[in-house]
Amino acid sequence: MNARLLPAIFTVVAIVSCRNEPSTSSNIEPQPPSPVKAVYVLNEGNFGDPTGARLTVYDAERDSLYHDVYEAGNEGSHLGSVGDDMQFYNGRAYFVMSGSQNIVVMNLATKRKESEAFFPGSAVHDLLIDSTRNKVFVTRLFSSSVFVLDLTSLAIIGTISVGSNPQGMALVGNRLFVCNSGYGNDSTVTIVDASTHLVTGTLALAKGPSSAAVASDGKLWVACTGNAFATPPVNGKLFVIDPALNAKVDSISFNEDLYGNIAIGADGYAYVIGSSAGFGGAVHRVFTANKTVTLNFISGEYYGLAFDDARREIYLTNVRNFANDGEVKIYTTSGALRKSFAAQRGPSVVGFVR
Amino acid sequence: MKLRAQIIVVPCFVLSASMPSVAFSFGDQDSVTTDSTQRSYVMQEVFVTALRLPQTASLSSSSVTILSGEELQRINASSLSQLLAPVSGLFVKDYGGSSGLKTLAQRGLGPEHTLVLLNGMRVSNPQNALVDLGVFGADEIERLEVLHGGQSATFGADAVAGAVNIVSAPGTDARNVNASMSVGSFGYKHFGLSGGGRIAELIVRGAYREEKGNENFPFSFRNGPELTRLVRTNADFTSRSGTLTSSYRLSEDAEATLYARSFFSERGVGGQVVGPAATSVARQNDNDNLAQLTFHMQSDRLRYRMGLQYHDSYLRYRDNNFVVGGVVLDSDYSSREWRIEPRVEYSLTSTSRIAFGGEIAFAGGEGNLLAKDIRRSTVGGFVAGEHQLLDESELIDGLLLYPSLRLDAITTGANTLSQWSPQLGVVLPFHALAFLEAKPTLRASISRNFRVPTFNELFYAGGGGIGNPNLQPERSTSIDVGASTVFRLLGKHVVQASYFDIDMSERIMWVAAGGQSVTPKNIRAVRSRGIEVAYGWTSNDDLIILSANYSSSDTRKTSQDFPGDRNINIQLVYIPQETAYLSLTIAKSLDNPVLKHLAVSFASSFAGFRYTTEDNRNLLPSHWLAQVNVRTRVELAGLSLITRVEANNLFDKDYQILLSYPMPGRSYKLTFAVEY
Repeated sequence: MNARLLPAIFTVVAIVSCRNEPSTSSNIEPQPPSPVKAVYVLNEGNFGDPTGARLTVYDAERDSLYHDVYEAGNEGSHLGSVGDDMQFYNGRAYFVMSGSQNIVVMNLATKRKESEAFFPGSAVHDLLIDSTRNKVFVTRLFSSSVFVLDLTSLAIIGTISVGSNPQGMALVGNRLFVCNSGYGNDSTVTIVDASTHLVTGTLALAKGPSSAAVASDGKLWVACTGNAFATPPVNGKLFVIDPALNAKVDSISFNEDLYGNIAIGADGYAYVIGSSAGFGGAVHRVFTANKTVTLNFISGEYYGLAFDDARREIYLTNVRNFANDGEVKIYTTSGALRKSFAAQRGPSVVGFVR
Repeated sequence: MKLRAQIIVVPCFVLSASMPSVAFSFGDQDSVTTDSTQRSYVMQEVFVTALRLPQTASLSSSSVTILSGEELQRINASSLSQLLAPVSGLFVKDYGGSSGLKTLAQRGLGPEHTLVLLNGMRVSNPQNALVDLGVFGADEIERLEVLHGGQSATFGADAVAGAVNIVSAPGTDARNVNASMSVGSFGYKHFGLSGGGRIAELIVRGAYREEKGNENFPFSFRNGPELTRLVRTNADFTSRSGTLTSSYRLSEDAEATLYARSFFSERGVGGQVVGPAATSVARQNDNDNLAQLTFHMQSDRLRYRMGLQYHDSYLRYRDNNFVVGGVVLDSDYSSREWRIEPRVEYSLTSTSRIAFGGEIAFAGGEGNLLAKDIRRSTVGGFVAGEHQLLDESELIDGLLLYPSLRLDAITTGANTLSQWSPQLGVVLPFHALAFLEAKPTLRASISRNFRVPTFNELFYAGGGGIGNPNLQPERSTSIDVGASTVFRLLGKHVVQASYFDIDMSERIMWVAAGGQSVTPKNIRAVRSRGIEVAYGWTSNDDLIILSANYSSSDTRKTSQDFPGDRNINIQLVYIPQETAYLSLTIAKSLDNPVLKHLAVSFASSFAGFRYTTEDNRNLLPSHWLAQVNVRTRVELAGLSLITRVEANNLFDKDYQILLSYPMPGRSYKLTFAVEY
């Protein structure tokens, strides 16, 4: 053997011996178009994965499930990284990604991207569409402020300074309520005039205001996480705000910290998630009329929460520690499991288009 | 994202006597003396100095790789990380560019499982058991010793997958002054100055180096079919270091040496690029000071060594874009450690040696992301033996047995853990065979090893992460079996092969624990098995030097991390199942009155695909990289002028070693050095 051939021989052997790379979930298979009227699940994805945010669509009428719906409609392009919020308006879905710091607008009929805006340096987190004033409000998670965008162009038309780590928002009339979570270190809700973008007041609640929802009686419910890291730890709390008075009128305490999200259903209950398990916890519910609390109404480890008013069903997501694809479970208002379906990595937000 | 956002903070800061064996060296440490008439050769013995009982490398019982001298010159390297990357079984986890964090993993385990030593003494940080390999300049290093497989019987905690010993450049008798300067792509600049010599019985060497770069390299960001060309931002760096080495001969049999090093760096942390708009403004400062004083004494049968080390380090990380609860993320951590390591080696008979000694260390750590100031003391003692069990015969050169045992008592806060670490090694060297004059050696070792929980794992108190003071050490059993041989055929060939099997239990993992937090727990069992093969050939005239290696590993999680965990028997993330390296050097020493040496080295490295998710559904693709350098040495008027031109990532590959951390494309570097 001519030893000078060794480099070439080695190279050939090495190439031939290399193990084949398996196919991955980034390979998008062709699929039939998903319907417009369906249950939409935004999957958060793993941190650091630029392709992590994925869209799953569940057609409840036909019991059909569609994965990677955005990719299928956009030649394999992805939404971005860390999908945190999803809203619908006028035949479009608005997706917010805090990792890749962008908002994507998708046509619900074609599933094609209509527009996209980037916000360098801003971990955009929650989105609220104010169609009356043709605006979009977007919280900046680590920048203690809210961007005001033009609904049509997504151009920034204003910036509102609020408390720390703003997350959920709610709009009551002309007033925007911004929950300043502070990751358990802030305790306030900032009230903003949606027309002028001026801060008109601040409500002091409890540690970690994270999300808000409006009940059928017009009262605003705010979920405060508490702070598991405080000494001693602070448990979660719900507050009822009377927007007419700009004041808290009631509160409900829990014996654990909460995961931060709240949904108020057409059944008159407010649903929140506890934080006793890994990523999330059991579901508690409060009857909004008399504040009756049912702890552990649905036991388990849930991360995302939504109420389907049309079918009067509770949608809960389990992220399975972000180590596997998650799942969505559908419960009746009596707490019975009706159905579960597979989602993708880290299902976090569920929305309904009827 | 909910409060999961907090958890990302954690990895940012986390986000840490065996008788080793057959050295594998193709350079001047392992040279061949060729007699043109008899065509015989003599292997020079290579001593692995890191070992508590220094060992002739060819008779060690576990796998060792040594890089020194000319071998180091063949590699395009600014820092230690690039020097180690070609070693079989090692995988450098590179967070991108010159400024990115660089840690070392081997045999399928994590960076916290390989102990890093400097001149034989531990420098791994107790905060996270890590060493940023980028902070050691390549020109500061004289020699590298990589001990593969568990080495707790030698070094105590953390040497679960192996250990790396960095041997610093020593002083020399001859008075000398060296100056070097480099310029390269992406604003890279380097300046170094060193000099020293002998003054009576004192040998002194001082060195200063400065390095900086913009690291604003272009790279591609892919979103499905969309390809966007971006430029890396906030990845600039500046570093400065100074070293002083001196040795003083106290008598013919005794010597004292002093080594001191101070390092400073300021750098941007470019972070992950998860979108075309993703930006980072995070900055990091590092300061590291170390002093070692060693005393050696020896007689015919006795060798005594006493080592004393002081080491302090400081790290500050701040990110103005990361404000939690109204407070900008601005973390700092500092640590100090004193250690003293006495040891004695004694030759009992012509066939038996024994070594015993100990280690006493006191470490302290403080930081605003730790629940409290931490104090740790380590008291360890070892005994190691070497005994020739069988007499030499026509076939074998004896059967060597290497038993060793170490006991460590490690007290952190109020908790004390005691750990026994036994190891048994066997080596069977054969006489040179008639066929190709081959001289094979078989070896095997089995050991119990452990890793002690880091300060972060015990007492972290940052957003989303809570340390667990009740953690127990990780424990493992390591088996290493190998064979090596040298033979002659158109030059000298060296072949070494190893099989390893590491069975680890109680591996510490950060898991969600309710309360919107993650916390470390002793929950994971891991089994890592694989092979490492290395080959080298040097032509008879020493003109051509070829080295190549290949490793294949299978590292699987064998237990549940949480109830219902489906990822059992799944490959661990960011571990390439295959690596390969090929290097070809043509070097010629010339009789020319001016041009004295000319060398060209080409190298290509391969890293197999790496899974990026725990369910093995996503991966980073494999990549081949190539590099080349041309080196010349000119002697003129008593000066040696050395020129080095190098190109890295020759074919301008877009690749990532860790997800979303872009790596530079093709880059160049030009170095001039003057030696007097």
